[in-house]
Amino acid sequence: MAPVLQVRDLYLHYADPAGVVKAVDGVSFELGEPGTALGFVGESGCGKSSAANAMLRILPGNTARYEGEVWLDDVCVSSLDAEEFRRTVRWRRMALVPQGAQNSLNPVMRVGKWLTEPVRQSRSSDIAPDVLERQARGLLERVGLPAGAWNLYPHELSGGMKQRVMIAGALIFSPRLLIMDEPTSALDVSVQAQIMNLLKDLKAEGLSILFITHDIALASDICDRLAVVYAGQIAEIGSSEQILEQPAHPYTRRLLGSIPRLHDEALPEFIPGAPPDLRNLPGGCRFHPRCDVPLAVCPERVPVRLKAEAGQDVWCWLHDRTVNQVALEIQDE
Amino acid sequence: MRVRQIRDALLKTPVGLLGLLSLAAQVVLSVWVVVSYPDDFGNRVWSNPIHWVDNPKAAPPTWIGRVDNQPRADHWQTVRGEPETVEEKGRNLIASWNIPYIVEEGAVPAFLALTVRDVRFEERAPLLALTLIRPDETRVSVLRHAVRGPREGEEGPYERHFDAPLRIQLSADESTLSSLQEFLAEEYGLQMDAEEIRPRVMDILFGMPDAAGDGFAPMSGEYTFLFQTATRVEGDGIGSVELVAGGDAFGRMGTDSIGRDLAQGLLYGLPTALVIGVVVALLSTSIGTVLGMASGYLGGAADTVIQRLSDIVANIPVLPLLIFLLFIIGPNLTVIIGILIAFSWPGLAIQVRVMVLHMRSSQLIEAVQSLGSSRWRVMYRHILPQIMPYFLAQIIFTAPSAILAEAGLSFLGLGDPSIPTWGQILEAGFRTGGVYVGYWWWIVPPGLLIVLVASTFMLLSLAIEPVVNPRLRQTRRAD
Amino acid sequence: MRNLIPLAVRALTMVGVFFVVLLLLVLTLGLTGFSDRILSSVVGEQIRVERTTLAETIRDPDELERVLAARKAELESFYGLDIPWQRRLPASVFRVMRLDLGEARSLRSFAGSSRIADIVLERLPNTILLMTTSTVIVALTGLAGGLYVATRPGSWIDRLVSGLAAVTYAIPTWWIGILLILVVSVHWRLLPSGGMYSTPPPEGGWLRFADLARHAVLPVLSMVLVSVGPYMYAVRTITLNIAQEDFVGMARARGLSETRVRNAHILRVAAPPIVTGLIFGLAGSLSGSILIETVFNWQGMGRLYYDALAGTPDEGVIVALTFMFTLMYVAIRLLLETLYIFLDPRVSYAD
Ligand SMILES: Nc1ncnc2c1ncn2[C@@H]1O[C@H](COP(=O)(O)OP(=O)(O)O)[C@@H](O)[C@H]1O
Ligand code: SF4
Ligand SMILES: [Mg+2]
Repeated sequence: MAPVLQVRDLYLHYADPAGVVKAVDGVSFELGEPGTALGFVGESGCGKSSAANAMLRILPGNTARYEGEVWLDDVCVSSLDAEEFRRTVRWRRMALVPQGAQNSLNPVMRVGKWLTEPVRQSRSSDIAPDVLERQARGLLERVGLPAGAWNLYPHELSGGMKQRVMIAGALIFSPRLLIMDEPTSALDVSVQAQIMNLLKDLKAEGLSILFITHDIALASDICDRLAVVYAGQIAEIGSSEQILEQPAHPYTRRLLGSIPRLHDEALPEFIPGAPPDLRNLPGGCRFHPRCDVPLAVCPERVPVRLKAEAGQDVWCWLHDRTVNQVALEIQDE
Repeated sequence: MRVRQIRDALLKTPVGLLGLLSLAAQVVLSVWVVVSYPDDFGNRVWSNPIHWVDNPKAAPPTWIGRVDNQPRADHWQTVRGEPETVEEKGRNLIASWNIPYIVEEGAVPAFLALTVRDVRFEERAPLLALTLIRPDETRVSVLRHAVRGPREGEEGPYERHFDAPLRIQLSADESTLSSLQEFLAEEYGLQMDAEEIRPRVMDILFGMPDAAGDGFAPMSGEYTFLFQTATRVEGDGIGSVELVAGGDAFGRMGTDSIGRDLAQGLLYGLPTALVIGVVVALLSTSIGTVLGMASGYLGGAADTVIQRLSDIVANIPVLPLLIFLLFIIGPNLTVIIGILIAFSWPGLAIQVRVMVLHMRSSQLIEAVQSLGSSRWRVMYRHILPQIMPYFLAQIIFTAPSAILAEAGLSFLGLGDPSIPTWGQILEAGFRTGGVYVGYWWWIVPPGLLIVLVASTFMLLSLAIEPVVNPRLRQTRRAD
Repeated sequence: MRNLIPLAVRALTMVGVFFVVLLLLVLTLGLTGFSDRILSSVVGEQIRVERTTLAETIRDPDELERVLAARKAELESFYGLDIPWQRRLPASVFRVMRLDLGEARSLRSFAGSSRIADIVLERLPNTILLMTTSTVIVALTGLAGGLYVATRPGSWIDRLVSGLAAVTYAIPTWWIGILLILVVSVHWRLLPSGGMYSTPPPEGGWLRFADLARHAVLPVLSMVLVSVGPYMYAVRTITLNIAQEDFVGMARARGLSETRVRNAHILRVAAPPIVTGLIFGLAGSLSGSILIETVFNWQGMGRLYYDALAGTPDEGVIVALTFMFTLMYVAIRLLLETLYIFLDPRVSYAD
């Protein structure tokens, strides 16, 4: 069976007065079977949201480069024209709950109206209004909102409730894939746990989820696989166990080291060096200025995709068996 | 936001710099005006028609000639004291003044006026005579006038026209009309009655009948006014004689319909406008700041009262009430300024209160307070400095609206007559119909000056806008 | 229901404004003795009327004078002229509210009446005509222009609108009007320089209307010129800010069409702040209309101010006008506030 989602060589660069921002710079990954979750983790500003937007073709006015292929169930949706993409793919097969969902609801629209709006506006759906309302009310219940929420305005909802409305909204067309961008970052811990449980339930019902977060521990809670993102590129991708137990990329190790743990005496490590400036990236491996085990080749050559283990790929010269060979070549030059 | 940021915004941006330079120039000019203008300029000079009698009425500025290339007579005025010759003729002493006058390119003057001052005599009142000797050597007797003789019960020596000079508008004088009638008949054999002559006095004096025979062609060249007095005894005579040949254009800015030199009034308007703007802005923002701080800091009943009051005053439709109050209290600049202040403070009071409430809950203020600083000290030392930039910004925002408000009130006829302002000049131009006959020099410059001064403050506020309102600074993306 | 509480709060402020102005009017009148003068003129007028009717029945002049004197004293105590003005205050308030301010000194209504209420009220429709016409034009062009400019931020036309808005604050409305007269009426002789109808007015409904429209062009134009800039700029800035909000991006992410995004998510949300903009502009356009009516001799209440101030001042008319303008302002404000509150579900919490 074809994977639910396949992304190949995705690029999204922004034009900026200070230079080109390479927010997504050649990202490829896949999300296998239905009912699995892939985590996208990385420091803030590394291009995670941009990747999500690129997949949904939500492009700001200053987009400087946008290319790549996005396949959903063996259909190359990136080859559709803009209007067709909007009418058949966006929100219908692939829905996004964006970062900052707190402000993503229209302040003068009641929840029920907002929820059903895409269906009502859609030319292809001829669902009867009362059927639609019943379904949408069912969704509200499904995400754990009281029936009364239907008639409320956003300012009458708490942060957690808003997030639930957002999730319900994303499910209105029963999409194949749900992209959650930092779904819990503005919520307090107990609400955060409730939302995570809701997502797990949805996943168990067969929904595929792309879970974006800066919090690797949170991602590992729900995700089957994790992709670690650094400076607009994937540094390493593998199953959650692989990434957590035997991280292959020095950055991943650092990231794991920076998580404060209960029952641990050691203070969390801080990742030294400034986060990369996406306008002005170092040559070779983008992580080399901050890497604690760099090789001679690292500043010179961009790492290629290497296999660390079955199902775990990494972009780091440490895993290249011919690395010494390469190092010698460089010395010769 | 810091006061320093505001200073930088003003000093380091082109817009701010332009505004500051313009303001500085205006202040310098204002100081010069205040120093060099006579005291009580409004009552004694501007609003006093006598002061302007010798000026041409509703004359455009002189530079207009360079624009439209039409011949216009320059305004000409000359005063003479001692006579050039005195000769005895029979029992009389004849004193003579020869005053040359040149007509160029057929530009005939608009009017002719003679003013004689300080006439003194022992027994018989002097006779005055003015004759115009024209380039073709023809002579026109323009005026013969006998100074008023001794009144019953009056003792000599007699003095006449010491306080009120003798002023004769020759272009409208009856005796001039009749002597012109004679002149035309003798010189050209033309019979015209007084009413025919009256509108053409100047054309006749400075021209000759044209070929077609129905008008007068101007005669360019050198003219001489021969002014003579006939007296009886030595010592009798006049103090000075003045001749005015009214121009078709006047000064840099022209005149209004009673001959006022608009340049003077317009200049005088500058310090007035600045004072109105600055005083209203300064006082109303001070009141707003103090009330806002008190409201935010004291809380409780004081807060409620101040807030309700600000709310109401901020929402009053101001102009109708201003008209009413000024009408009742009387048009007086101090009153105008006072009323404008009374209605301009609430905006800032509301804003400052919100800021104070915000700051009061900040940790710094709480800490300082817990260390035992008094309320007022905290206000003065910690809160006031943070409000300062908003205070400055508000001054810049308020000044132009005060200037415009005063102009509007003046335009409605509620201006202070003792202090001419641009609004009043415009009002006069409008009320007397100057607009409808196209006296643009009366209408356009005062408005432009209002715009100039107001936009100087607008430039300053544009410059500080990004500091006060940082949200506007963000570059916007077109999605 | 929920909306009614904030509406009541706002309404209360406006009622406060109304009574503060009213009180200010009455107090000033009392303190300066105007109030006594107005009442005396009312009494004097009544006596004059009664004299002519009584003269028919009472032949004896002495008898007539005696009757009239008694009648005058009666009227004076009826109007409270025999007690200090402070005690008449409530009565005076009602008197102003009913525009029962006696006779004008020199002004007359179009039909020749000298009753102040007649003079002022017959001008009300003319003022409303001018104000609504120009407000509708300003609102429509400001909205359309502002929305258009918002799609091109940073373009030359955007900078033009920003510049126009800034310049507007520095230009007196009425001066623009005078300039228009100078150029369009006097220099080009294209349009009448003032008044509402030609003399004599043309016969026939359509011709009359066309004549009115011709006379309205310049006053309306000047009012539009001075308010459209700031309004356009406000609409532009509001929509630009809203277009950047997350929920607008979200609307696009949800696959909605651009038209739907613009109408339901940008414009609908922009509506309440745009109404706020109208509220802020209201006081300005009220004073603007007073001055513009004056400039163009538009026979409305604004021009009446000028006429009442010139020559022998008619204080009663000025009081009536100030009251009427305040009333009008308060009424329009209440209308706009109501509109605002029903457009924006958030106010009930914000207040
Ligand atoms: N429209 C844009 N124009 C220019 N830079 C942008 C734009 N959107 C995002 N960026 C920049 O791109 C980088 C990646 O942003 P984002 O994808 O939001 O990161 P993340 O979601 O991982 O925190 C950041 O440095 C951000 O400042
Ligand atoms: S490629 Fe080199 S610099 Fe980059 S992470 Fe691996 S070892 Fe470090
Ligand atoms: Mg993000």
